[in-house]
Amino acid sequence: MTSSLSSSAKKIVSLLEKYPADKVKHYASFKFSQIERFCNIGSLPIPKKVLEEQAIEQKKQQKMVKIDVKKLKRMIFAQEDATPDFKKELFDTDILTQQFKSLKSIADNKWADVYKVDKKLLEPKGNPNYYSRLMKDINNGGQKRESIFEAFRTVITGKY
Amino acid sequence: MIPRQINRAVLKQHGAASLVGRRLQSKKVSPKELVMQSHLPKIENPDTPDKDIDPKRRLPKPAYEAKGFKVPEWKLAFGEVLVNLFRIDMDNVRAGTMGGVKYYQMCKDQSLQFKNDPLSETATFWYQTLGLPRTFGQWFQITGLHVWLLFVRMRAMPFKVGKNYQQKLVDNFFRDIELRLSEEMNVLSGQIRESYMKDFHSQLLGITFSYDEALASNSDAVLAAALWRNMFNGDKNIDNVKLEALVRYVRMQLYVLDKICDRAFGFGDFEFVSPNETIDPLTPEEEQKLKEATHQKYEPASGKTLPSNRSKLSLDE
Repeated sequence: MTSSLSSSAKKIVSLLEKYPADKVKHYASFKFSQIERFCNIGSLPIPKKVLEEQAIEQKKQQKMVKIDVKKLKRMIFAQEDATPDFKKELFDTDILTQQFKSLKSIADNKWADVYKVDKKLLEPKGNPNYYSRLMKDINNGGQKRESIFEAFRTVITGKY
Repeated sequence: MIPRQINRAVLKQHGAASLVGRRLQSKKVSPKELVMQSHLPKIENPDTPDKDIDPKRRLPKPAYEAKGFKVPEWKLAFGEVLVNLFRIDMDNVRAGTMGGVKYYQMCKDQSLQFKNDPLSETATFWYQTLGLPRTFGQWFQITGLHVWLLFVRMRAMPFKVGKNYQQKLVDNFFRDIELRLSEEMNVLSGQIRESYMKDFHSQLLGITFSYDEALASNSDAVLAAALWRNMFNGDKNIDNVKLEALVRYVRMQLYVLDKICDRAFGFGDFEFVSPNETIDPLTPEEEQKLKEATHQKYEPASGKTLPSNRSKLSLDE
């Protein structure tokens, strides 16, 4: 029983590893938190590659945000649970297969393919550069400033 | 004209059987049913306790939100005369009445709830089926998601009109939040209310940004992560079936918004797909039928349209 549990958890973890990492830093990462969770459920070690990736991201975060939130939290709340409770006892192979199926269809872009959206929304008539400019900024990590002329254009025309 | 209704009508005309073959197997499962299939019991998130506030006073519902509300005939006739006489730009007026009032009401009613009151059909999906906490912040998140969906469509309208619609929608949204905070949540200090409003404003920026990123990168995984952060409050013990159902729900709305033309959307004929409904992608013939029906409705062959129904919005896209 436990071996089948850990094998299905392993399948989920290897699927989650293929998920794209967040391009912009947020307060939590879906990919890493779920990998941690399913590793815990299947009593697997967290893959080395993931740990390395996480360490790099954390370093980036420290560069951007000067305040160490975790350190502050530790100072204010004396006892903080090191590992969250993942309710391991609730899971069985059936549930894990269901979770895998859902994560798989998300990874496969299933619903984006079924409900395809045209150019009409992706290159909107009123603001045709909106999404391309947004993606450009995101791919630059949101750190690059635009030139003064572009800023003026945005303010005057109101178009992003 | 709403694509979903057309689709249903088309299905009826042709007989559903002829179209069944092309349907995907999973398509008959609505987001709500998809969640019901999950066997994972609900795991409480200690970070977001389900603390519902009992409002001291309730905001009175405006008369136009009542069912079967009708403007008296003489008022309508008077309005038509005024519009005709002063050549009022109705696209501008409609931004307020449709974009601001009607569409905001649709967004807000999705998840509006009061303690000890029975939940509406859509609210049942959000609070019971998905198990989200019944709080003001959660209501804001759900409304924000729907407001973003409308933003996406409004961007695809002509710039001046679309911007106007967006502005009116946001204005109404924040006016309503402020009223709810002071009347229902009993936040009496204006300063505190202001700080909450600023917080909600930056949250709306975050919502728009993260969902826009997901739409532009055309990836379900990015959308799922954005929904997980915003709707599910970054819950580590999330049921991923629920997440998939929500991804599907959002994609379904985007599909309908993509198929509806500017004119129909501007006239307030869009309607969110309910979580316990499914829609099928339209075939080219059905799309043609949809176009014909829209033309017939907004520019009938007789060529007679009321002054208030004049519009420059496109009928084809």
